[in-house]
Amino acid sequence: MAFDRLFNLGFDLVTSISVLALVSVGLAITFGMRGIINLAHGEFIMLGAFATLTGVRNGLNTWVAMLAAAVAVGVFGIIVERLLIRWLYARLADTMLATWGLSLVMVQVIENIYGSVTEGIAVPVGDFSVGNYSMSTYNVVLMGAAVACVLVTYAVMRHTRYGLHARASVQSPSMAESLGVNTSRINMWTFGFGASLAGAAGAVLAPLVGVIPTMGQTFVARSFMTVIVGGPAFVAGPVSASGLLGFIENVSTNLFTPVIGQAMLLIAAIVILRFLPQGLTGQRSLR
Amino acid sequence: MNAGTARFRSQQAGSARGSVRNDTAAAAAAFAVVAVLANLVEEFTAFEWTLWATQAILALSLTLVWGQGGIFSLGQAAIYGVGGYTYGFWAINLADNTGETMSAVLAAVAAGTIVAALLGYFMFYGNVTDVYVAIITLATSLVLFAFVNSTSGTAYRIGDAPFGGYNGMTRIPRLTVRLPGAESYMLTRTQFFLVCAAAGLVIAVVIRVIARRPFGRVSVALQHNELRTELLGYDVRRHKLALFTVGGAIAGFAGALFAAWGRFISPPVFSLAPAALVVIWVLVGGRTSVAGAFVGVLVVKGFSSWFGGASGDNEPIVLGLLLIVIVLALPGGIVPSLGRTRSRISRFLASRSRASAADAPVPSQNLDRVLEVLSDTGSEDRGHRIAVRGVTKQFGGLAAVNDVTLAFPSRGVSCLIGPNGAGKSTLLALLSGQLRTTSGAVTLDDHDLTKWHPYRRARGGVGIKLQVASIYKALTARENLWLACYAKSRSIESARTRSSELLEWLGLSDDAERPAGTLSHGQQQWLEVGMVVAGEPSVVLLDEPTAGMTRDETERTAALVAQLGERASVIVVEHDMEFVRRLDAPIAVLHMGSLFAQGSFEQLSRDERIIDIYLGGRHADAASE
Amino acid sequence: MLQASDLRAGYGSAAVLHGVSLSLAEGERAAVLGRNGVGKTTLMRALSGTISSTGGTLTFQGTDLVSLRPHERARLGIAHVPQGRDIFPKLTVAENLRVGAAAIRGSADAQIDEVYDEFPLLAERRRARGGSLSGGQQQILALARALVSEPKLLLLDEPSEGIQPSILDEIAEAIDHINFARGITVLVVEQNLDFAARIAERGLIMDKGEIIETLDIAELHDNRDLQRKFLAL
Repeated sequence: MAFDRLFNLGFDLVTSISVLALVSVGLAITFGMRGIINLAHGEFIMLGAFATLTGVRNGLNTWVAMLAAAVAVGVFGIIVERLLIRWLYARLADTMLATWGLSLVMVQVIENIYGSVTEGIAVPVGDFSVGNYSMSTYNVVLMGAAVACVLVTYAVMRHTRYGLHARASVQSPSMAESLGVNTSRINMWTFGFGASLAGAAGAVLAPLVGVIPTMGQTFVARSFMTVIVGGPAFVAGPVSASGLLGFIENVSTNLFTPVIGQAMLLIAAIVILRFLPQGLTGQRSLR
Repeated sequence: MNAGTARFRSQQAGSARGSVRNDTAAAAAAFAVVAVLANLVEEFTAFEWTLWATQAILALSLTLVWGQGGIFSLGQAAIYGVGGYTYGFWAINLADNTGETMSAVLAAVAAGTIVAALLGYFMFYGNVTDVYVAIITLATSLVLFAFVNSTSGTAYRIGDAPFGGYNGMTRIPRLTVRLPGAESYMLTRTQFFLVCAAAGLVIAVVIRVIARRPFGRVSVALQHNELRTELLGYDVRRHKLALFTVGGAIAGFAGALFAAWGRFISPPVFSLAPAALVVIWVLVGGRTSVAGAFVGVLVVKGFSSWFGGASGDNEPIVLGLLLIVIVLALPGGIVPSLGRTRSRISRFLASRSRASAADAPVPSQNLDRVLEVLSDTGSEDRGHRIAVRGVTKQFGGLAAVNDVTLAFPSRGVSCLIGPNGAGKSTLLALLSGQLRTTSGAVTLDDHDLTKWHPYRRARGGVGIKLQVASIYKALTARENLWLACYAKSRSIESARTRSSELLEWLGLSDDAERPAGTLSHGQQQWLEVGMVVAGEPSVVLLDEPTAGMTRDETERTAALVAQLGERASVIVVEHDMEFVRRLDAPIAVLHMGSLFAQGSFEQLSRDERIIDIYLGGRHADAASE
Repeated sequence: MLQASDLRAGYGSAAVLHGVSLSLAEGERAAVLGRNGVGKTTLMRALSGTISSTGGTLTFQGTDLVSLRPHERARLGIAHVPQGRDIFPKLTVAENLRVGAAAIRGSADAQIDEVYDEFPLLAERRRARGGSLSGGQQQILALARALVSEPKLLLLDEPSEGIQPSILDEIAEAIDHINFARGITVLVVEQNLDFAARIAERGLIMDKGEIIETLDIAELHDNRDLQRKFLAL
């Protein structure tokens, strides 16, 4: 196979994996660490995109707007946690119900403010070519953003006081509490952090996809699959799962159609979970 | 005191015949109201209502599998979709020939059943639980979505019916009946609505009937405490599969009605939104109540269309806020919350009279009638000998039980003692089947139990009372015992009689209708022993039976255990040395996973090494050499 | 310093502590002894706040503890090393120690260095994951972690369980030193009488959820009959 075609395929593959990783890493934090099923996750992504849009409209530099969007969504996440989520830990079905309600509200509020027409954010970089294939440089930005999100998550979890306390709380909440960790506070920061990662994903994806209020819904199912298949490790989980599932999806899409690609991703998830109920980074069996 | 359990009564036991009559009457009354309304409104309104009726039936399928069995399925809407497409295929191809579409409805039900059976087998026999059931059912739905979405083009068809891809399948025939020998008759819209409403009410009544039958009661038990249900001898995996399959039949049926209603079905029925909506309807209405399915659909859809008309734009906001409010203020859904305000006073009264440990009734000494079944005649040695041979259980690098060989007599009490971490509970778990041996064998007479699941060992006569009381706290004491008795006798009547006898023996007759969770700690322990005895075991495993008991209760428990020992092989793990001394039984001492010593209480209490392994220190290591 | 009066606690409907009263003076070393199942661990958990008490009073240096959550009690200076050590298996030794600093503001580098000095074993293995240490090493880690926050009261639940004698010596010495040099009050639950005798003077004997006897540990240690009565078969 010609080098340029190989490069193009590989480029395409890495883009797919990056997108999956971007939309999953925030969910891995909230679900992986606290078992919260946040059905509004897609809407947090959407919020990040709209926040970026607002920033750009008001004259901010695109990159600055994206950063600000991530922070803003993080703050919003903290507010949601304090008002709603905090009462619902360990109530699985109720969190689903409440976050579904939240997502309905979010979509409609945004639609009321911005209208339902697609807005574009100009793609801030151009194209480049390898052999006969032309590819968008922005995909490289996407890959960079995915790597950045993963690295930031890793850095926060490994090297900050918050990250240390959060990891300790997952391994033994009562011991962490006994040592002086305010686990309730940690939960708040965790949800906010996950939200801001979702916002960052939305911000970065905004120039690529149409920024409409319902854009989040296409990401929810796939990001959940990725997080569940990934398992409890908050970085290794989503990274390994997006690699594996992204690969399967991408190859199937190229061989058949995008729809088949989606289907294969899901089938792979089902099969993996059947044999590894705790995901790729979880323990083998319970008996 | 009994009034406080009105809430539970409506879900569980009680005179079956009376309640079926009540339910049927209520359903008939509801149908009468609906029929009157249907004839008063325009046909188009009845047509709109039909959709709600099919969705209520879909919601009922989730009420069954989730409300009764605790199976959190996000796949009901997908099975609904499968039913709809099946109806479409069948009706389009065959309706002209057969002149009716009832067979298409049956085909849809069959399709729903098959899909649910396959999916259920995959999940439950793979030991997938809780959240993962939700994920896998959702994923399966989305796979179907992707698949059907990509079936555009004339190549994808069954007979004359194309799949239609993302455009969906059109021109699906309406419901047409044809009695043998008569002409085909296509129902009017109003008539079809009445058929759907009637079907929904019938299914609701059937679900309530199931809830009262043994099958439904086991489903509820399974939901509250799956481990205990398996330990009583129920094959929980097969049960879940059966329940899920019935749910699939109902969902498939609803799907057929939906396709016949709109004459159209398309892929979005398999997507995330409908899957979640079914859950939302059921949660809003209350997942433990069949009325909840109807209420949920009506409230959610009612809100949507009412606000959709009035303030159009903000309808999702209102709906979303409604959901949040329900979760925070009315946990459990609307219908149960209404029920709760009614019984709040009665519950307050019931909790006031909660027995304290001091004046709790204690088991009577007369076990004879209850335990008659444990052995036919006193002289015949019908007991069974349980034994372990070289068993080891490793957890990672640690051997919790290390090459232990012990044989227990077919009758009488044996004690298992040892300091913390000695492996006593692990050994019991290996006997009951909760844990698998890493190596070695567990035998009952000449049967090799080593690979048997817990429910099979329970049926084979091995009963275990766990360290932390494993009973159904939300069910009444009577219900707890009934489930245990039924597992053995499989006869409703005899289970009822036996559970009454056991209640009397345990001194719980006065508290029989209270939730078991409100009993005192000692009573809960005895209740669990009663549940174990109900299974007529030949081997009774008791893990720290006197934990948390007062001196009095401990005394009585000792007498109880001794009497049990006259008829079965009783193995007791204990820390309370007074209790062990009172039992006056052969003792095996475990230390760091291995068998350390055996003997009578007198012998061992004189053994310096035993005192040392309890006290630790330098002597302990010397002693274990 | 620590005062409990008619303290009651349990799990759900099971009441385990039926009215425990005790009083610890500052700098004291006391041990809670008794057979299994009498409520020793439950007492520790009620003192640290891991479980809530259902009755009675509990004060620490004059502050009422009953309504305080565990992390608030930790900030007052109460450190709890539970049964089974409960170290964080996936965190490194160094990280485990840093979590120990959660109760104090600012960094605890100085305190952590001190702890490394005191326990060179930990300094050597500072990058090892907690779960890879042996039982004895984990016990030292748990102890060191409790010290990082410079507590005033140390609650130890069966520190000797599953530890081999050579490390026991080290642990006993460390506890001695902690009490002597830093003036930390120590309350320890123990099954191992030898060990208890080395690290405590006063013995509080529990039975069925209450403290039934207080005596000199040295006395108990030498008297076989007393041991039989309270502790063994």
